[in-house]
Amino acid sequence: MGTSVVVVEAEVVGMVIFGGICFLWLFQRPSRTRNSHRIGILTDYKRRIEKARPCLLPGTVQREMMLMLRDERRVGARLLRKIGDRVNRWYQENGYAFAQVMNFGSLNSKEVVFEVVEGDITKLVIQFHDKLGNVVEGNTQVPIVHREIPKQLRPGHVLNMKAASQAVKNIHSLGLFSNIEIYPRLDEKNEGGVIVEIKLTEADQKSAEVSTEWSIVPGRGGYPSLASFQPGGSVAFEHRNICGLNRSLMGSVTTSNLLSPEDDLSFKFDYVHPYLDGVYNPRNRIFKMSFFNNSKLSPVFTGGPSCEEAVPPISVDRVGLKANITENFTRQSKFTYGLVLEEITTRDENSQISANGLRILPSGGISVDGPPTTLSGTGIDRVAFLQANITRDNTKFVNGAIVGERTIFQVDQGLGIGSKFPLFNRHQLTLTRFIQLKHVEEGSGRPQPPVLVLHGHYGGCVGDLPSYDAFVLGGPYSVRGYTMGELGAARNILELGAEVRIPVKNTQVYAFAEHGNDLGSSKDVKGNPTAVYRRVGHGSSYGLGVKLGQVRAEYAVDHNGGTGALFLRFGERY
Amino acid sequence: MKGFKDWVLALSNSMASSRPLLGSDPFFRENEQQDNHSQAPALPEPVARSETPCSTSDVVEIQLPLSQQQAPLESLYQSSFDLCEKRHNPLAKIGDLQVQFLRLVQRLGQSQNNILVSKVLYRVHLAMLIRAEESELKTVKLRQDRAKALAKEQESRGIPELDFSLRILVLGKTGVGKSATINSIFGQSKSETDAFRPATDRIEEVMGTVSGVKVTFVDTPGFHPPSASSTRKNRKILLSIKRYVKKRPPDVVLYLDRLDMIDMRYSDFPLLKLISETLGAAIWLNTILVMTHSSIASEGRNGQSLNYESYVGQRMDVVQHYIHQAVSDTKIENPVLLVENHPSCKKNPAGEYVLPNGLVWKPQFMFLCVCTKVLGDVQSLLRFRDSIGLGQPSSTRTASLPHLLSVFLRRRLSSGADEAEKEIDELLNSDLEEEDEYDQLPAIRILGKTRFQKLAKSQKKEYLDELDYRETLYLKKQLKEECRRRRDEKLVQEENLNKDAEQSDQAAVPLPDMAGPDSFDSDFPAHRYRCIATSDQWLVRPVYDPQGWDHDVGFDGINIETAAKIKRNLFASATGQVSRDKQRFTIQSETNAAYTTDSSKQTFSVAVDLQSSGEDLVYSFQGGTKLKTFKHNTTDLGVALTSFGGKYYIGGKLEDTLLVGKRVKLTVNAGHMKGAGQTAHGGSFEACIRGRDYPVRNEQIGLTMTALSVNKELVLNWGLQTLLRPNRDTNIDVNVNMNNRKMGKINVKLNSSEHWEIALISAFTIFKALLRRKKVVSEMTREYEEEL
Repeated sequence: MGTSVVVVEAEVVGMVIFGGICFLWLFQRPSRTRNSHRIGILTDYKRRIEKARPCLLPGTVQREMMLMLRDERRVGARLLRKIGDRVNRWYQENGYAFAQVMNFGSLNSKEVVFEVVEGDITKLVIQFHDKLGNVVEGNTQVPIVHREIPKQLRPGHVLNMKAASQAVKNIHSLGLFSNIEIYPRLDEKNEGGVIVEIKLTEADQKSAEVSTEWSIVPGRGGYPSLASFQPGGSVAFEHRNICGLNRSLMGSVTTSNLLSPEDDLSFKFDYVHPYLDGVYNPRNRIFKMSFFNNSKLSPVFTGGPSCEEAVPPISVDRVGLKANITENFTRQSKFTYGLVLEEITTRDENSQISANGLRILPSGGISVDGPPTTLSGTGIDRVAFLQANITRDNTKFVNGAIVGERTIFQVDQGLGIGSKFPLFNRHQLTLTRFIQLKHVEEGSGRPQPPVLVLHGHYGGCVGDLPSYDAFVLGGPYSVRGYTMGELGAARNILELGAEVRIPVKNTQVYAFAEHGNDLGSSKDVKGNPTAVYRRVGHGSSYGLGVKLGQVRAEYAVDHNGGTGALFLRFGERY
Repeated sequence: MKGFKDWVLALSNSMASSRPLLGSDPFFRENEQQDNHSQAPALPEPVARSETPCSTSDVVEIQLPLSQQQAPLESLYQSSFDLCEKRHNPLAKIGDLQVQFLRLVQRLGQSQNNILVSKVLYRVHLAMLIRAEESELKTVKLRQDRAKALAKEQESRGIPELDFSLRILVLGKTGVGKSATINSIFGQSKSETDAFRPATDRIEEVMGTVSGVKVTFVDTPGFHPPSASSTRKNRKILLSIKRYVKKRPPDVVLYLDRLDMIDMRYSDFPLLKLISETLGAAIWLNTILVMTHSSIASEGRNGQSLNYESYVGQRMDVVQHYIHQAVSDTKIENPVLLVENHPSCKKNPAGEYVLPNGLVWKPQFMFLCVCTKVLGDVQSLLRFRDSIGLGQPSSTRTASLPHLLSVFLRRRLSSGADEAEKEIDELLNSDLEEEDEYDQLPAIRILGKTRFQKLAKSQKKEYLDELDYRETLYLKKQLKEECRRRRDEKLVQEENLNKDAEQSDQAAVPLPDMAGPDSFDSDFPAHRYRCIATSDQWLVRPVYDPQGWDHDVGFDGINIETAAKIKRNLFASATGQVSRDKQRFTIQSETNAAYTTDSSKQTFSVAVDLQSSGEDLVYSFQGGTKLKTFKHNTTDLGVALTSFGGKYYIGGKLEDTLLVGKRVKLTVNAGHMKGAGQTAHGGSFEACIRGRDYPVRNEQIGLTMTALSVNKELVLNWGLQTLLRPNRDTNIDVNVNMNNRKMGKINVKLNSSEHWEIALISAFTIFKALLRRKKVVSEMTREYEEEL
């Protein structure tokens, strides 16, 4: 057990497996050396070899060694060592840390046999340690750790350090452990066997933090005193790994007055429940519920070219509950569906509720009769809708360049519950193809292939559409070279883009062209914010860029205005 | 320089008001006498246009005793003229210009006492006074009077030939009548026009002579009316104009628009902005607004007939307002001309076009052009133009010196990658050889969950406390081991220094997907941020803007961090945050390089910090050296140079750090900063007492006092920081800050891993917020219903 045999023949004869030991046969021309008296020993040996399983050594390496043999007339110790080193090197390079050539032998005058111990995993042990290094009972249920361990690390497989480091990564991504170590050690009971011990130190399950703040101002009589007894500050808490099943509850609240919060309150509560179908079920559906608020600027209420200053910003405050279930098909492809209940408030710069878009008049005053911001007309909307997102993504990295295809379909379906009983369907389809233009060999340090990216995005809306949810054109992920919403806000949009990426040294330079169009549907948005704010409704751009690690630096020319600008962005466009 | 700007702006200001003017203008004092004679200076008298000068009425008004002064003056003039040839004396050239101007005034049939004429002369005079050298002051004063005389004389003799030419650039939207206006001026069809189609498709020069003045019109293709691609096309036209203008700068710019097409929602603002952007805001300084199609029936907003003057005024104000917005300066005012090119326009007996208000526009047109050119020439001769900055004043902000100083005092230059480690090493160095307490502890039996549950409460507590005590000791032991290992490593490293660092030959492993911020959108686009694990030293992270765009992730900036040990004793690091968008550019970065001497006693560091503040950048360079004077004492010396908005600030500081025993650290520093006519002094004292178990447990009490003095004003600031661990699972952090203005802040941070109950405060907050929201919403809906 535990060793394998690598067999290489000069005129391919065959390969024999046995136990964990692989044998490497090397065929040699019949030499004049005496071999008659060794037959007795060989029968025993032969039996052993017959029991061995084939080694992992790929054919190319075996052929390479046969060539080494063919060139030599005689099999000397030096040659054998050389071949042995080559075998060892291949195993080391490919992450088989416990593989080793144990022995040379010969079956008959024609064959040389290398005995290789590859390091079969005989046992996998998961241990929990406390901070002092003592072995303790863990709080986490073992199956949760177990399902993160790749197959190659299960007993019966050959230990590969790549699989081990993958296991560390997977376990780490659970976020439950402060320290993860994998110790392979030789199994004394089984020759060539390896026991893999996974040592885990659990992180603190619970934590809570309260931070309060009082300001001191000159009070009566000139003595310093507190501005208010009510403190401002933040509260954050976390309870992870509930029931040892990696369920978690997290929350945070920040406000300038904890006891009687005002508009500046920002909060977030999350509950995550993984393994909805049971820990042992390979299907992994994750339930997530969050209750939170955020406040963002609406790109619908922005001015077109050269009248940006004339449009005061409108912020969209959203508060609500979102519950969804995510099912991961592969690492990248997934299906998410759920329910959203939210309340939307539109505010102006002074955080006053504003039911209509604003405009600065030539006289300097502000007109408040712009397009309505909400469906209800009051500046506050409540809505419940169903949400689904299905992503099919089989992109992969080829020497660092993304190749493959991705399709995303998103849909929001209104239920007729909420202000003005909104019934709507909002859907988006995104298609992106990364086409490899040249075949390259994969491997670290090899050049990236040139890639052509084709991208299309269609967004459409049927039914009631409040302006804050209209699709906007322009922006770093819509039509580059424009600011968010610079081209317009519409009911239906179509965006098309193409990009050619060419490897230069370790990085990529690219050229792109993009177009966005409202398909004439800007006028179907209430109050036509596209026309009111002097936006065109469609536009193209083109430009050049370079990738510096995760950063994109690009020069994009907006075709409507004919001007170019330099942009720095994080991450990919597509 | 501001004076010049005001001067120029005031200049165009005065020109714009060609209506009868206020008597309070300083100019009138000079010409009071003359004004009595001319009754209605604003309105040009209808004068028949002829090639020869024929104005006679004005001659009477020149009251100077010419006969006596003429000869000497002329000689003086000639001599200065000669001088100008040699010394390029701009004043002499201006004198020449003045004469020419006065001749033209006569020729165009304008009264020399026309307000506009006087104003131009006054401004020229003023400009000369501003630029004249001490010795020339007298001649300047004399020159104007003499020029008038000279002009009259020359004009009547017709000798020398008037050498005056006008280059007029004509801008305007397509179809407003640029070419037609040119034709009207020349009185003949020199440029092709078409009432319905754009007739001019490239830049054309149209030359001719009007009143003996060589006039060159630069006719340009019309700008496109606002549409999807108009901006791009217009920019193209403007760029070609820009190239043209660069070669042959125009004297006067005309911006044409149709009077009848201007409404309150002026849609040409983008065009005006584009013109300012492409040709530069200064183009508006020489610009005359020309309103074509002026003879329209004026109707007010309510259909009532408006007074023609007020109608025009109203329209003018709209255009002027948008020009102000386009250059973001409200001081500029452009003179206005009304023009009518229609063949069926009313004509006066002399056959000239007459506007509805009875004005003959052509002489007025020429006159204004001449005025503009003369003033423009004066400006360029005296090199005023360069000093005029239109738009919002950019560098009015100055840096706050106390702020700079306090930043400077606080900024510590790093001396290496492992600074914190070094400090800890030093602390532990003495008792490295001592045996670990942890090893001397008796063995403890770790209890299983069920057995732990069975313990009594006090036993549980004791058990956990014992574990905690052991943990502290264990961590100490680990730290010491680490320290020992590092020391050994260092020795090894020094031995094989020349060995190259091994290139890690890691396979490309994609990193796990990033988790995004909360949003109500259906998914976070994690695929945009997917990447391969790399082993390079650059750490790049996105900067999340919680107030970003709706339906967008909100990663707007980039945070970059890197640190590298270039050589054994040379270390460099940089951190920065940058965001670059179509309109915005912000950067904030710190770079640091340090060199440690071989004995590691002394470190030299250099730092360059860069920060954007509005449109400007703040640069600050800092250099310093750190010297370990004796065992527990470190002295730090630093200098700084900060540049902001063209101003420089220089500072220096001295800092001393003393370790008393293992647990007390004292830091004293003092600094001084100077710049922009201000000085600031400052200093700080910092004392820090560490807990028994430092550095394993981070307990400490710190006291800081800082003093800053600027302009004899002293700001004192003191602070107290405590970090306590009263319990095995609780940390309390108290911060108190106060200054001598009785302002301050108290910060209490409580952090626990066991007492989860404190989180219930958040439940209370949310509950209160919900109550409040309910009230607000019900109020809102009530209001809305009432409105309905």
